[in-house]
Amino acid sequence: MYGYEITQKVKEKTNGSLEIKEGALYPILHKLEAEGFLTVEVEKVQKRIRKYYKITESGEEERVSQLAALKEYMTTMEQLFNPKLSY
Amino acid sequence: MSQLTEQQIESLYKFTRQHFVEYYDLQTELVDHMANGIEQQWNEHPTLSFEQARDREFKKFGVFGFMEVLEERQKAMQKNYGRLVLKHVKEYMRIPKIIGFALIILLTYMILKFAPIADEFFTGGIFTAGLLYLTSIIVRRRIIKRQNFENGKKWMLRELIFSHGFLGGLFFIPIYILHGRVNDINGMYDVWVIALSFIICCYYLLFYIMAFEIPRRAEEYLEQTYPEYSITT
Repeated sequence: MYGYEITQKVKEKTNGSLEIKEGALYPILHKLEAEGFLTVEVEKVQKRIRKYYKITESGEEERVSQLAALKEYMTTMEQLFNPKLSY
Repeated sequence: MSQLTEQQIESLYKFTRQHFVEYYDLQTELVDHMANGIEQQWNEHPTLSFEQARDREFKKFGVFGFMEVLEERQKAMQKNYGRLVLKHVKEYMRIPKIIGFALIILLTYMILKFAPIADEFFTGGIFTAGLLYLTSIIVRRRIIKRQNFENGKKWMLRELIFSHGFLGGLFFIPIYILHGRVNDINGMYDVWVIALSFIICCYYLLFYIMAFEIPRRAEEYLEQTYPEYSITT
């Protein structure tokens, strides 16, 4: 996917409730690329050059582990705010 | 769906340059993003002019415009460059290069420990390396200037490679500090002479890698880092 496509996809998948700002998207993409979590491919599209980002193997591993960490965090938060009280 | 003309794309490149994005690698990405946004706007509001649609897109980057993107890109590229240097250093820690490196450390130790000119050798080494370093920076800068003038494209990694990671004179500060503290090397304990020889050799190795080895392979690294490099140069 390319940068603009990512912003549109996120908007579409979240029905517009989550919008990635351009000023935030590219720094994240470049950081992930520098860390080796993404690779880049280019293509000449309509007289301009388009950069496509692709997740690498280590990027996929990182995604899984970050998602697991997020789920754990959500569970902890849920326990904090909705404790199951028993007597 | 309306599409941008070649002139409009060219004017977007100019627009990014006017907003302090000098590097072609970043310009191409921002131009494509803006172009997509403008086309989408024309789809929704066909009466908008090119300039109006462009300014609307630019506003989405926030009050600092492209600055945040540029700064983060520089940080990422510096990390990339650091990794490149580390890769070269690691080569000298493996056979066969480590043999030569160890021999140079041994030779430095012998000179520092036994030669009557140890102090002069140490001082002379620092000044020679400093001079070489400055000369290489001046020469490389001229090369960059000429290349930028010839093809009109600036690449962030190339600038980093030819200016030795923007380290400048900072590179030699630790050696100068060491120089101020070190006197009568012949009379020092063995362990300190060994440590000193090791530190000096590591510094000069780093200098050699940054000033000669990496710039020599610049084209190869640029092609690896920028897939667009080969199709635009």
